[in-house]
Amino acid sequence: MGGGFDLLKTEDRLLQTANGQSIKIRILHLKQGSRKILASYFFFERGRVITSPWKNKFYLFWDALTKGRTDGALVRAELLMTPDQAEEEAFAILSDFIEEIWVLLPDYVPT
Amino acid sequence: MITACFVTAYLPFFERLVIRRDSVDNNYCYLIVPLFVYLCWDQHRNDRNGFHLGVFAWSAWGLVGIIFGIGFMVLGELGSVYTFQYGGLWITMVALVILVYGRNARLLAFPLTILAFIVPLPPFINRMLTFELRMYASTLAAKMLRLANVSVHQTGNIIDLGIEKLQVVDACSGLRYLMPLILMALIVGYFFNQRVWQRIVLLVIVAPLSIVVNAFRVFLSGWLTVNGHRELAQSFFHDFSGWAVFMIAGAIMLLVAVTIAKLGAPPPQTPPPARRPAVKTSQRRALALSAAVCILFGFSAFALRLTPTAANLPARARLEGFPMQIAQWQGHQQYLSKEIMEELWPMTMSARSTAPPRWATAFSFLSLFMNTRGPVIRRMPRRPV
Repeated sequence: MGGGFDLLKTEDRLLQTANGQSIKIRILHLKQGSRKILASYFFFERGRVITSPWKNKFYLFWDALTKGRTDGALVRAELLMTPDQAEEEAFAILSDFIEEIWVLLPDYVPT
Repeated sequence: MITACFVTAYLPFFERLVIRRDSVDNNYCYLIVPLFVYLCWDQHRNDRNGFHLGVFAWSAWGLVGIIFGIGFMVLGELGSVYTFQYGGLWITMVALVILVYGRNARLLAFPLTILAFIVPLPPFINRMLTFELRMYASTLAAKMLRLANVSVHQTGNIIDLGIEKLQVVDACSGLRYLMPLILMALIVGYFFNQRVWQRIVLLVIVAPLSIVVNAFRVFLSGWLTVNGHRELAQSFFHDFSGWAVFMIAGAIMLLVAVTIAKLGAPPPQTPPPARRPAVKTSQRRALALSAAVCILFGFSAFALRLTPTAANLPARARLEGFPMQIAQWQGHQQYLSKEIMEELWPMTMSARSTAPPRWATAFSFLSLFMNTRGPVIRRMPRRPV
């Protein structure tokens, strides 16, 4: 990993957003010495939320043909955890943050 | 004429190929096309296996291959997968040879294999190889230094000499040697070794050879640094050693090839396979196939250019206006470095970092908005080992 962080675990988790939607995001558990980062990302592309890079490539191709669009966005949110913070607590904070920005995103990233 | 039509229609592909090849890791690729042409010419001149450049045997099967190749290129272009783009380019070139030479194209199997080196490795294979090679080279270099009575501490790719730390970076991983050495093994084997096992031996020694010579280079750097020639290790020597070490690797490869060539007697000379008599293709057929291919190239390239770009983008707000206050979090704006911007080639980008009340709970939130069809050029930094 860049910056010397080791990737401990990768998982996909579901989030309930403020407007009642359920989205799947990818969570990365990163560690460097005593520093831990709970990172998350999802591709937000032409209205689709995608976590798999393979699916991302497929839909790029598909939407180029069917919708005539090749734009897209990657949304990343990372949380630097306190040394004694439990993973679930960190995830709750991170998901709160993502839920807040989720409702704002469509204005900035065309769906 | 067909080649001209192909190159014109897919000019952006070729341009990007040249840009990509311009990077220090890939500049050996400039040799590939001249090498391909030379090998074809060599077949023709020496009549090695009955191939003759002027003997055409038009085959409609080539057309099928070309459609397949174009399909790959379109898939790669629209999905932004470079391996598909250049893989498609290679398939199309092979298919062109089949179109013109029919079954005699198999006599060009070797030059066509060499031509495949224009296709970049998929990024995940590249990453995996780089990582592994870097680790092996670092470990081996540390061992060599210890043998030379230099006390070192190695953590991953960092070699701590006490007075200085050497970092074996990606660019010094030896991957830069790996592909050219594989290419060299194939060519040396082709000219010096007739038996299959001998050629396999040459290919097998490529990976260890590239690790050993690269580790040797890191070792020399470390040794020079410890012995008070730090500037030398970082400047002239770094570039010179890269060149010299590759020459040494080439010489070793050649030596192995010549030695094993003496071990096994050359296989009994089999008469070269009789060249298939030139199928009498009427000029009309040749013309029809050429025209079909040219139309195919022109049409597909035109269709590809009609496909979308950022121009089809729906209206949106600019990311610069993204709120700084999100619920209880207050953000501040940061900008990404020029290098990252160049690497990502985004249309617009916003990077925000929001600092919440608790000191250790820091978010960073990054949103990229990009057009995926922009050229992405990876450039490895040139840095000392």
